[in-house]
Amino acid sequence: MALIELRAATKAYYADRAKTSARIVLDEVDLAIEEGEFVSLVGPSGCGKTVTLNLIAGFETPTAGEVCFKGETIVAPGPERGVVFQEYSLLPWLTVAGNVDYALVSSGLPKERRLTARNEALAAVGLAEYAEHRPNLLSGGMKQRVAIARLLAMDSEVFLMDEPFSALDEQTRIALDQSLVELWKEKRKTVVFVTHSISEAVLLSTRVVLYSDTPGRIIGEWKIPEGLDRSAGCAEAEALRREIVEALPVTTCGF
Amino acid sequence: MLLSLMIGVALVIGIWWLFAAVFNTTASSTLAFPTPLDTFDRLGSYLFEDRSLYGHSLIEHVLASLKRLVIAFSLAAIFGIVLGSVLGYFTRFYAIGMVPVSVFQMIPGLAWLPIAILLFGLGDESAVFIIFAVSSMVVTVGVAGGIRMVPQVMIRAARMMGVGGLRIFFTVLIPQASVSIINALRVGMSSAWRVLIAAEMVVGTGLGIGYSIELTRDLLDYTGSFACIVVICLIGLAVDRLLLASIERSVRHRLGMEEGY
Repeated sequence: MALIELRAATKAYYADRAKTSARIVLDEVDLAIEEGEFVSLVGPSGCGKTVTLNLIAGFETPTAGEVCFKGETIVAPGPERGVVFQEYSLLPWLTVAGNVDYALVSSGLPKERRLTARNEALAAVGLAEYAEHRPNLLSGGMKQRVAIARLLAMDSEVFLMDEPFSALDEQTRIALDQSLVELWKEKRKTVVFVTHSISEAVLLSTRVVLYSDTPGRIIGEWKIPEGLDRSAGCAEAEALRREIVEALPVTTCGF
Repeated sequence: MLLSLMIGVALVIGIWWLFAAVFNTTASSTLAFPTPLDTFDRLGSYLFEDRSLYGHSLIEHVLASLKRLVIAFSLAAIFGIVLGSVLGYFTRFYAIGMVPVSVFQMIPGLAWLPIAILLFGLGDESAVFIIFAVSSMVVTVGVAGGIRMVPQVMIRAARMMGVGGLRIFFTVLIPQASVSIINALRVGMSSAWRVLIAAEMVVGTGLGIGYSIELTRDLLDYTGSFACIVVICLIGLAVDRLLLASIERSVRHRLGMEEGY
């Protein structure tokens, strides 16, 4: 049994205030994610990638179909399914350490265990020396590292990452992509990563899932062997990138 | 900061002086329009020469007014913060709850007078009731708005970390909204102060700075009225600028909402 399973998951929103018509954003999506996978969801904007993530996180419930975690229907968010948001989500009045501690207040762990977990998490993202800084002194990349540290401290089984680096500059994004891969290789957590960048998806994942334009359906999947050389000059990774780009649906909106 | 404040004050006094001078030389009124000099001279005699304002010193009038303000505004602040939080937090209640709040907010301060008199008769309680009725609604609307403006991602992040509803309310919503809450209190305080003066002028409190204006006006002692108005402005400014604004600054800092330390 897969760790995460979407069975004909459908999400529709009312399209007007009178609730007379609906817009389907996710259309009977079937997706199974095994433990330890690094799955990237790519596709045109508004195609339901983020909705998929929100369904797994438990922020939203499917209009039809089912979303399961370890065989049980997801009804609410929980620390076993940690989320790194696209927007900064740290509490600005707490220090970096305080923010990670906050992720553990509901864990029920004894104080010493929480302290160790926090320190290990901060060390893992390279922010141990910034423990007493407040978020307003951190760069965007550092804030997202703290957000990742929260999930490490909580020991989330799944990392749900919603375009976590898209607001960052190119240099920082490359550095964070690199750290994320290393972190994943070390911890072997299941990661579901939403991105609009196909090269980022190819660089990071063991599987790329391509969504269609609205209403979102899955129109392609590529497994990537873990050992694949993904550096810039590698022909195989380049071919894969091109293949996914060519499979991209032509967007109906925009131009 | 200080310079702009001084220039601003000088501007007010300058316009006032000019107006008084023009009025006093051209208008046919037998009564003089008090100049800033007359007014501050009178104020000085109230404060430093024990000149009485109809049986009580100016300080006694001010203290009586401040006492009403403190009682009424404390009640209004508690009421407004609690109701505003509930309305802001529970989206379901917001749509319903804002209807009576908006209705009450539409009632101008002095229109509460018949209700106040009916409930409490003439005197202190009526004044307190009117101030409460006006400022509690102002605080409610501001607090509810502040809570609702908290970004959804903050709430989602807390839920994802397994934090329960009540704890989210106290550890995320209230701190995140605290600047809005303080602003709501500032606006509420200034409307309380304004309606206090008006209420004292009509409900017959017998003591108070608004009541003093009413008395001096009845006796055509316009210089006395102006001295009282100046006192009102000074106190209002002091409470807002010195007290509430500095609370807001320190909260902003403690919440880490400014760049750097």
